[in-house]
Amino acid sequence: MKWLYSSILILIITASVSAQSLGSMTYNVSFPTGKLNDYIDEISWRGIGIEGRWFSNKNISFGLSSGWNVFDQRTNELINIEKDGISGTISGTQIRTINAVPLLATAHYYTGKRRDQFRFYFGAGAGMYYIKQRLEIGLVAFESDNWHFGLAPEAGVLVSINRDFMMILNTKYNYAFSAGEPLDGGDDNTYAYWGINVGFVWQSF
Amino acid sequence: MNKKKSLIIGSLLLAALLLTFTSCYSDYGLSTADYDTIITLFDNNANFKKPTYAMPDTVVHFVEEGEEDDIDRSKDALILQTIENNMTKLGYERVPVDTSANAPGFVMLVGVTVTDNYGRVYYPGWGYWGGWGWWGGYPGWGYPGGSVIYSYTTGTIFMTMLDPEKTISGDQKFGAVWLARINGVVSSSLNTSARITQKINDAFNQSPYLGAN
Repeated sequence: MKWLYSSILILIITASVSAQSLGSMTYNVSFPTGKLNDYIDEISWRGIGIEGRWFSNKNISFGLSSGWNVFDQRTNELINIEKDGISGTISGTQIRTINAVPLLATAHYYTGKRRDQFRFYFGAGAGMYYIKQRLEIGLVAFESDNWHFGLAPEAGVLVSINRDFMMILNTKYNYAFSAGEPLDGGDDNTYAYWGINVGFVWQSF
Repeated sequence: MNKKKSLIIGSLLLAALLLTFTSCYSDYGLSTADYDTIITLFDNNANFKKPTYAMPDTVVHFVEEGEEDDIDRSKDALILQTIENNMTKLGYERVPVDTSANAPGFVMLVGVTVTDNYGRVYYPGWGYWGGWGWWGGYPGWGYPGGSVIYSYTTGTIFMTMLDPEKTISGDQKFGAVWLARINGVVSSSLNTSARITQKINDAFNQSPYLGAN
């Protein structure tokens, strides 16, 4: 956890000397990829993101971001199992759910000047993802929750509306590295999803 | 747009976002039949290409020792007939249970069990949510906590296909090569016969490796 304490310390120092800061709230639409897509292949329409960014100079900011994305799906897909020379199939209506909560330290680089109408930026977040996976089938439910180390490269644009207020549109790839025991008993417990996020930004000088 | 307007729009957006998250889990409005599950298992080394099988005319009712068998027998004939229909379709010929004759390719045993489940869910009063104080004005407004007792009965059909050529070492019993377990909530409001037929058919359909040919 040393990196987390260091990141927070850097943020506090940056924030205290920062001339400009941004706070944003976004609505997130997420597209599951990889192993997450094998489990739930539907788009998540339920997601929010909150973020704070403090500028260390005109073009660079450091910050913290968090959010909450819910993926879920009702399916009748057959579940195949195999163990010790016995194979099998389980069928029945299933409710599959993933709740993902990232807690990331971020860094971003911005093009142009502070007063520009459009400011494109790119950056990345690094930190932890709390991910809870749940499978309901028949009268039973299975759950697994883990903290994963994760990375989130991001690119977006800030659209200035007035001195205090902007809109933000970005795309972010969330990649949570394998951690803990997967629900299906395998080795790989990575989760990844693309997010398209839109929201409002409050800025102060 | 002035700062006040921005804040109002921002607050409305926040409220809209919060409304999208009324729960971590969706309510899919499942019906009783949605709780039916079928598990089929098979021995990877089994040889299913044998032409005959025998099936006793009795459905075994699993009841705990000392308990009375009060499981309804009205569906037994339907269960056996549906299994026979599926086995015929797969090319297996049913032969009499006759220990003096040559052993059949397989022996199909069928069992049923019914379990009563009871539970109690507790739900908190609004006080649980706390923090409403800032909203102010209605300290007496609330909702008492309590609990609801629920009960449901589940029924399970077991189909076990034994192979007389597969004996468990050190034991005089035959080994199973295919098992199916169909579990669901017993409900008088649904067409139980149609549900049983459908689920037994499904158990065979999800086992494509079965078949005499």
